[in-house]
Amino acid sequence: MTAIAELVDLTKTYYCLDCGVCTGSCPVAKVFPDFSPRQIIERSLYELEEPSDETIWNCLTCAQCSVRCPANIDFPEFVRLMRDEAHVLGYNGVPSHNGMLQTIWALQTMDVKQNRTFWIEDGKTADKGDVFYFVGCRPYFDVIFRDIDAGSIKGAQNVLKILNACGVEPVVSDEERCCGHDALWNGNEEKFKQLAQLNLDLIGSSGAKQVVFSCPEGYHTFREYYPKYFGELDFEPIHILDFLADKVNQDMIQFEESQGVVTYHDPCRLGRLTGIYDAPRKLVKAVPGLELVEMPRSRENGVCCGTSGWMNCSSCSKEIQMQRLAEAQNTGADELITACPKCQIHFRCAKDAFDLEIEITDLYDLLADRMKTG
Amino acid sequence: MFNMTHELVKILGIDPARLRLEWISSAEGTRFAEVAREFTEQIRSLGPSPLKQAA
Repeated sequence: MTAIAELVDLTKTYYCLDCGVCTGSCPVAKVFPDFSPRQIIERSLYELEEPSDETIWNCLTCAQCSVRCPANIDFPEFVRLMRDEAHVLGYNGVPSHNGMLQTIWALQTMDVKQNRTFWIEDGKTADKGDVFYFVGCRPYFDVIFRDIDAGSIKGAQNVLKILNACGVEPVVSDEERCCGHDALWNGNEEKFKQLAQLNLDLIGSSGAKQVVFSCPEGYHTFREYYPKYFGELDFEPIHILDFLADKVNQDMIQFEESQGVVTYHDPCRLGRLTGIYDAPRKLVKAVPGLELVEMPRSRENGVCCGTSGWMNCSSCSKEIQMQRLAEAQNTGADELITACPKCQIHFRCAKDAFDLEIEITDLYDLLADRMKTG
Repeated sequence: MFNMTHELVKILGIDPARLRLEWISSAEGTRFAEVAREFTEQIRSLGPSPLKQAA
C-alpha cells in the first residue's frame, strides 16, 4: 500500500462525496484557483497525488472546508499528515522571513537557557503554583516584528495584568518552549514531539494544575495534540477568554466607560478549532459604551488571516488580508479586534503595506486599558 | 537586522559576544585578518556553545 493510500484509509478520505464544498469554501482557492482541496482529495483517492506536490503547502489549515464537509473529512489533518510524509522525503514549503521563526523553535529543542520573561516588569508571578501562564512566542515576535509595530509583548504584559487583577499570580517560566504548533503544521513531527516533551516536563515540575493560554495556537495544540502524542494531561488547559468571561459573569472585573465601534476577527484555532466564539464577544460587550458590529464572515464563517505556520506567505495571503480588512472597514468599525498574536502581526503587516485606515487592536490591550482597578 | 539578531540571541540565551558584524572593504586585507583573528580568540575563550549538546 502506498503512503497516500494509507493516509486515505487513516483519515477516511474515501467518504468524499465529490461535492466541492471544500473548494467552494476555501479562502486560498478564492484568490488562487489552481488550489483545490477537492482535487487534492480526488487525486489522492486514485493514488495520483504525491507528497512532493507543492500545492499542499498552500493550505492555511484554517478548517473552513472541514466544518462544512458533509462527509466530515478533516482536510487540514489530511494535509498535515501529507506534510509529514513530504518532510521526511525532503520536501518543505517556503518558510517566511527566511526561516527565522523555524530556526528559533528548532533551537528551543536544545539545552538553551532562555531569557524570555524579560517583559514582566511590575507584574506578579510565582516560581511554583497551581496556575501556569503559557505565554507563547510573543517575546520573540515583539523583536522580529518591531518594524511593523506589532507590539506583541504588550499583549503578554496585559494578560498578566488582568490575571493579577483577578487575584492570580501565575508561574511564568524562562524554560518555556514554543508549543510546537508550527513544527506540527510544517510537517516536522519530530521537532514537535521534542518541544512538547520539554513543555510537559516543565509544567510537571511547576506543580501547576491549570495552564492558562492567551495564544489560540498554543491552546489548541495543548488541548488536541499533546494528548494525541503523550496521553492524558496532568493539568487542565484553559483559554484566558473562557476564564475572563467567567469573571465577568461573577462581576469580578468591570470596565471603564468607553466609546467607539469595533469588529471582532475570529482566529481559526480559537473559533472553528476550539469553539470559542462567545467569550471574546461577551468581553467586548462588557465594556460599557463600546459597540460591537459583526463582519459578514464571522464565527464559523470567519475567514483566516492569510498565512499560517510562518510559511508560504504570498500575494494570495496579501489578497486575503486586504479583503478581510476591507470587510472590517465596511462595517463602519474604527478598530479590528484580534485575539491571536499572529493574526495581529499579519493584519498590521497588511495595514502597513497598503496604508489602510482601520486600527488593528489586540483584545487584551483593549480590555486591560479599560479595566477598573481597585 | 543585526540589532534584531543580537536581541533574539539574547532571548535564546546565547552569549551575544558570539555575534559580531564588521564591514571590511576588499582593500583592507590586514584589517580582515586582524578581525578574524581577534574574533576567533574571543570565541575560543568563550568555550563550546551551550547548543552543542541537545536537550
